[in-house]
This record gives sequence, C-alpha cells and structure tokens, in this order.
Amino acid sequence: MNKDSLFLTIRDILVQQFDVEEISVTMDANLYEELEIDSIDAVDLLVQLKEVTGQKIAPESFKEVRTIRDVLDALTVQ
Amino acid sequence: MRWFFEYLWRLFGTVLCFAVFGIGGLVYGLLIFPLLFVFIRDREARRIVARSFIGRGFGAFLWLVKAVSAADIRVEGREHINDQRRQLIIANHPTLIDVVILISLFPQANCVIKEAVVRNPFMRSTVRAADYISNREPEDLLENCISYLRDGKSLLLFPEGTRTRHNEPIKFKLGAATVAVRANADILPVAIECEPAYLSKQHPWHYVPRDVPVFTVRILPPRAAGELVPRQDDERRFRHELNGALLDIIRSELADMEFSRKPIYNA
Repeated sequence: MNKDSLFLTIRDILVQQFDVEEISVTMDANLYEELEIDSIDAVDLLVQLKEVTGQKIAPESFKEVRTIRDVLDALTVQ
Repeated sequence: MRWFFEYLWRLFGTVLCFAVFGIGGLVYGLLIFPLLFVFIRDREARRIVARSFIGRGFGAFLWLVKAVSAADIRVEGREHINDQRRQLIIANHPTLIDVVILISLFPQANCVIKEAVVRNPFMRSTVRAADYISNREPEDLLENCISYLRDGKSLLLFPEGTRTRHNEPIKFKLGAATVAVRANADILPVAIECEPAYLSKQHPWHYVPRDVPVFTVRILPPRAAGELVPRQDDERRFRHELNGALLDIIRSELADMEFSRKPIYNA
C-alpha cells in the first residue's frame, strides 16, 4: 500500500468513525490537538490500520506520533 | 531523642520488610510457582491457586509491615470486598505497595503487569501462573481487559497508569473508563491515602518519614457506569464523562480523608 492510498484510508477512518471533518484531515494535522482524537481513539485507529495494512506500528513509535504524516512514516518505515 | 530511636527502628523495619518481600518473591518465583506448573496442568485451576498464594503472601507481608510499624494500614468498607464479582476495581495510586494492599483484599482479581516484570526471570513463573495481563501492546491491553471482564471476573486497574506525583493533582487516563464502558461492567472505586508521603514516586524505597505513615484504604460500593453518568450512544462522550465522574469520586474521598485528619478548632 502506498502513501497516498494509506492517507485516504486513514482519512476515511477518521471521518467515518471519529467525527472528524474531511477538510481538516491533512498530512500535517495534529491528531490530538487539531482533530481532537483522544488516546483511546488512537488505539482504535492503530487496531484498524493493523487490520487494513497488515502492518503493526510498534507501541514505542506510536507514542511519538503527532501528525498523520507521522502515522504514515511509522507504517512505511518497516 | 525518643523519636530518633523510633525512627531508627522503623528504618530497620522497612529494610527488613523489603528483604522479606524480595526473598518471598524468590521463593515463590523459583520454587512454589514452577512446582505449580508441574502439579496443576489446568490453566484455570492453576490461576486460582496461584492467586490465592499471592494474596496470602501479600497479606503476610502487610502483617509484617504493621508489626514493625513501618506503616499502619486501615481498611474501610470491607463489606464491599468481593473478588468473585464481575467488576472493575479502580484505585488511585499514591505508593509502591497499593497493589500489594489491593491484591491482599481482592486476591482473585486480575491486574495489569509491566512488561519488564513479565520478562523478569525471577517473577516470570509467578506472573504466568497467576495469568496476569501484560501491558506490552496498547491495542491488546485494551482488548484483553475488556474480554476478561466480559467473562464475568474482576479486574483491578489504576487509571492514573503510574504512581501519582506527590502533591500534584490526580489525573486519570481514559483506559479504565473505556474498559468499563465497553465491557459494561460495574465499577468499584477505592480511594487510597498515605500520610505522610511514603513509597511515592519521588521517594526512594528506603525513605522513612518521621511519623508512622498511615494508609487509609476506603472501599466504596460498586456501581454501574450508567448510575454515575447518563448512559449514551456517543461512546467517546460517555467515556470522557465517566472518567470525570470516577475522578470526582476519588478526589472527593481523598479531600474527605484529608479534612477528617486535620483537627478542627472551635472558637
């Protein structure tokens, strides 16, 4: 899965399940501050990304994640 | 001068308690629990026996703590103790031995153990025999806690996630409230105070305060999440509100304990 389609996947999850406005989902949007995702949403997002991509984000690197770009980087690094 | 000798005695007592705890942990981890694995093959049966061993061990340790006056431990609300009930036990976390106190009161409750402890060769067999939950992966942790409660058993969580920093306000992470909401389990709140501060996050284990530290452990009646905040479909709001309500309960009990500790002067 490339970065563009991953981005769209993440955007869809955020919009459909976490009531985030589609327009506010950008690469540099801060999950916690701008998109008002809480720590539990973040874990739920992690679970779903694991199902979609088959890739796991290491718990340590997920703690560092702030923006959507960070999520993509953490997913594609491996 | 007299307080100095009392202090020295308690310092000795504290060191003794920790030595006994360490040796007890070794005996359990290297002898008793490996034997449990040999003699009890059934995981469920082994878990029950292992947890009752741990509960008794912790109970004996706390007896020693009180006997040498390293600390005094007062438990209120014992009538609410029931470790067979399907419930989420939540408590604030002022000291290193909160879990020891709570497990001695609720021996069959499950709890979450740091991954480092699960890997520790001396503790591994104990943790595995008791079948405690590891905190290794956040997504598994949440799911493991929920499914354990759904099975009809009790689980102990410290919603702060780590010990409180002394003199700082208590904050709860959302995990415990989320587990309660998703597992639809009753919540049994426990407020723990230790005064003066002892075994806190800022103090080393051998720090002994001038006065005997007194633990007050107040067990409150179990309540359904829907009793504390109106049940609602928006899970995110539900967990935030429930978390706030649980925090309020613990904070107000702690404020009450502090108030009753201070003498009241009448004019």
